Amino acid sequence: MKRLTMIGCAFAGALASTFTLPAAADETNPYIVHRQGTYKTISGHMDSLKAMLFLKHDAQGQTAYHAEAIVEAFKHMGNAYPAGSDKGKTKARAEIWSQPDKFREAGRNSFAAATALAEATQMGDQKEMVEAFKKLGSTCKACHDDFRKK
Amino acid sequence: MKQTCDIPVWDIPTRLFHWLLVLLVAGAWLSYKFGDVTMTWHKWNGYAVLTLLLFRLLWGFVGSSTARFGDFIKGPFTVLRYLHGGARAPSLGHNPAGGWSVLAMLGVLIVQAGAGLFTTDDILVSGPLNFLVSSDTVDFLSSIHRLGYYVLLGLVALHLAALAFHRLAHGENLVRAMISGNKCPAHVPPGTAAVLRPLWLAALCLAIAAFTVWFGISVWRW
Repeated sequence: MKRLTMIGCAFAGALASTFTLPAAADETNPYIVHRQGTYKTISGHMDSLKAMLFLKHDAQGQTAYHAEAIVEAFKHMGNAYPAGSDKGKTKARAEIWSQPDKFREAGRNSFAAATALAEATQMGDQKEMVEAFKKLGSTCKACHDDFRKK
Repeated sequence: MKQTCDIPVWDIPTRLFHWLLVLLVAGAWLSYKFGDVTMTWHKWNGYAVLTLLLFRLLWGFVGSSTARFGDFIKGPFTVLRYLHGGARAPSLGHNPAGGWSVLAMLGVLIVQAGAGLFTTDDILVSGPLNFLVSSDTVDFLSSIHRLGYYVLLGLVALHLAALAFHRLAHGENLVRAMISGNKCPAHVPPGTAAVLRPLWLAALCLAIAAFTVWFGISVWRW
């Protein structure tokens, strides 16, 4: 009976865990905490840009700030994946360390796309900003496809 | 011996549903694979699939005789008997094995399209209901959406294999029946024919389905 209760609790816990908020980053590995934090920063700026470029949020004067913040964040990701930083709860795939050149290439593509977006926000042309934003999104996706666990 | 193949089997709504679904399932893949990074087409394609599926569920209760679930969902022993007999016994509409394949196809597509509503690419695009659930649930449903594609491919392959089997083993052209709506007398039980329901009823079902999809997506934001 006690055993049944325990199994029941374990099952209920597993079920509940699918409906609760995710745990914070894996603090056993500071590299994972750092890079996940920086990706979340980038993701936040992407959301803000999405509001302006796709959802017609009227704050066009702020697009440059968000684009430059993304460029700035990427500048701090140069040593985000040293050897051993695969240890812990991470979606980083082994290919990051087995194909470092290809991974760096993917990172450079995103950095170039972010820089192009920042330039487009300086010019202020809506159409070019949208195109540059979509280009940046596609470089994120390309890297996720190859180097991020599903 | 020449015979006129003019036994009505599939009504127009069921045939339109079938071929539109074929196009939209292909469209779902194409719009994902080659579409814009904003996935606008993929999303609209998904809403259309959901609408079609809901229509088919409704039509399965009030539609023409061969479209009704009650007409083609048979017990396991009937299915086994049918398969044991070499899948030879003629059926007016779906045969006993095919009926379950219809249910499987509908079920997998509903899960597939439904899960898509909650997914995100973690970059630019989120499904319309993504904000309702936790990120762990999103991960789970995203996996379902990703793997459902392979389950669907398997079902489609099975479907095509069954068509080829009926064509080669029994000389029955099921594709033509799904286009023309008619079967040859030799391939249906003697004296049977589908009882067709009016088109306006199908239009009503489609309208209810479209409204339900729109409502289901929008209501959470009100």
